[in-house]
Amino acid sequence: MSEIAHGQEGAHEHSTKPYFVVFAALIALTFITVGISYLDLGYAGNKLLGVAVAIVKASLVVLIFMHMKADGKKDKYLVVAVVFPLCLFTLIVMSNFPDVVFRGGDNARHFEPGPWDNVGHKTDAGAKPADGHEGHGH
Amino acid sequence: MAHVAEAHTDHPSSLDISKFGMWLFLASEVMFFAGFIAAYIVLRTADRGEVFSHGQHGLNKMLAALNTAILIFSSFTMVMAVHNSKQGNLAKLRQNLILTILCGFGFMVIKFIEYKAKFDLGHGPGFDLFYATYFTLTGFHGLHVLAGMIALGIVLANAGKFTPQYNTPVEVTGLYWHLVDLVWIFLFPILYLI
Repeated sequence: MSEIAHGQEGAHEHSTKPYFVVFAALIALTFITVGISYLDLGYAGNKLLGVAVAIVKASLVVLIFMHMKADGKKDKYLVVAVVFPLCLFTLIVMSNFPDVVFRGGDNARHFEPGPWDNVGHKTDAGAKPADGHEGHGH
Repeated sequence: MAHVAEAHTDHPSSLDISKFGMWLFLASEVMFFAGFIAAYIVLRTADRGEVFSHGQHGLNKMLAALNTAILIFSSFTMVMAVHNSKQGNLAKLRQNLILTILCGFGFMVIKFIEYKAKFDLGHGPGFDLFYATYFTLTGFHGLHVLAGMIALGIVLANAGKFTPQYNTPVEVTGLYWHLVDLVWIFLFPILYLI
């Protein structure tokens, strides 16, 4: 049994070729993502592609550089340790979505200025309920 | 390779436990940055004016791209250092650890140049919401780079102790260093590119 493990471990340890390949891929993807940023693919297009490239790069780092591909097979709990916070992150962002949807983008133009608009009034706190009320009215 | 037989007993090896502990810590780090990134996404989406897009256009894309390449290279030298420690090649281990630390130093120097350019224009963290989030995200990331450099320095100072049987500190410090790279892989596009 230990010999089988030795074989797997050995194959994983002796070859540095994947590291070189991943390094080259990460540099290439960095050029690609910078290049894409100069193209106009629409508001969502640029953002989705930019994040997609980042996810590919991050996956390469986690799977190969951080040995998740090899270690994750041996120890499933490591996979849980990575997937769990990612789910939490999605949850954190999603939990903010009502705010993003109702106040953000084009819809937001119909609302009163928010505290971030630097309007200089001290009545921001007082303006908020009115803001929400107006939203209901529409 | 005598350690292999030792590692496959009923009890998990110390490396497995250390690695798991480091992964849990990294998970907490991911959530730490996730909170700030979520705040950035929400504030930016809710931004009706030109605060975020204007702020983003004021950043130096090319310096940030160079920093990205430096951190990617440092991740590569780090993974080679872990490989060297498993092979018992201490000379190469030291060499790769030094390269990794130097990359971290180079990253911080470029970050300093970027920060200085912003402060010279009066664009500090209090300038507007974009700069508030920009300095929060890159500042905390920079602190992580510094912490990683210190940890790598300690590993380097103890490099003589590592053998193919004992190299846990190199491996877990490597995991931390890769996380620093990972965070930057996301910060680079969301702050500078898209």
